[in-house]
Amino acid sequence: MNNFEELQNKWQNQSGMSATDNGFEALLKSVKSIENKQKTGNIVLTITILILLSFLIYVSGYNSNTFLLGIGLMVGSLVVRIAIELYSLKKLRSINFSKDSNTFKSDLTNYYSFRKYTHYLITPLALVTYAIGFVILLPQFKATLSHGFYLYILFSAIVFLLIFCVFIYKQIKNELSKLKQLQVQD
Amino acid sequence: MASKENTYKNIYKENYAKVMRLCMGYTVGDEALAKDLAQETFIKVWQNLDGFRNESGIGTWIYRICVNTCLAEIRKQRKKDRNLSLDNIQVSDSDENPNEKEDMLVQLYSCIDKLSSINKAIILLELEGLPQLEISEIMGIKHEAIRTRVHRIKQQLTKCVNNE
Repeated sequence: MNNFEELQNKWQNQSGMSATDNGFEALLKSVKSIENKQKTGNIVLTITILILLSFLIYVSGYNSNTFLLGIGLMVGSLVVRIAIELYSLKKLRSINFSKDSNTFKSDLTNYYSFRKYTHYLITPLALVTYAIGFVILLPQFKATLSHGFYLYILFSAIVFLLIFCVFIYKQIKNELSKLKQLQVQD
Repeated sequence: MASKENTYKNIYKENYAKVMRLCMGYTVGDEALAKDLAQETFIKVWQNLDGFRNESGIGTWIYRICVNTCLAEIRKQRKKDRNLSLDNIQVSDSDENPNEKEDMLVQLYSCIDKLSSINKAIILLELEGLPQLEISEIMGIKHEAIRTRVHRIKQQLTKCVNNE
């Protein structure tokens, strides 16, 4: 027969839980690595934006409205999706883990509710817009590229879109499951 | 930076064991997973250390970060039968790791695992011996409500561990 005090005593005297110097060194390494990754991420993002801007300036010289519409829809949908993803990341990072659990849980629920809106509205819209842009460009690709390269672009785009859809589906499923569990009454 | 690192090292050394115990409670005694969660907790401690204003004690502050990290990260580990009443549960430790854990502790982990995430946090803090007022501050639940909950969960947990 174990009463609660015995359980408590056993709990507090669990072995193998002490801090070690090696453990701290490994932790410090992780902390520094995360800080470096954030810096690298910002550099990569800046370069991507510069490349996209240069590309848009470059293609704006084309006289074909169809081409500009197609490329505009594709790049535009990507930019909107990336912007929303970055905003989400900022929102997630701003959640304060040192608040009391009740407030934290409510903040986390709000975040995942916002993500639900993104997943059900923005993501499908961005995907459809991207696909429409690509379809608009197809006749131009067919007219200007070799048959082999045209087929390569066509099939690689389909494969990319399928892989992307699976990736997004998994992310949506994971986040919606988190939201569902957060909303379970305790 | 060196001063921040020294403060951080002291915080780590003084709080690692209690953070690790709490994480072990959340992971049903899975040491590898608990170490990951403890690491995640201390990474957040580092990231928020500059903003710590000593309004609550450092211990309370770390417990908050730890409980919230576990709440945010462990949800996918939850099992379907988590909401069952403890009174109806027979505990078996046959599939746990008997070489390293004493039977009672293994049973305790299993019984804690049957609780909802918030009740789990409350009882883990109670097992740590924290005053209920501090638990109330960590959880953001009124002191009176914590007192009632702790009383109920304690009874359920003791029954469950004793296979009653």
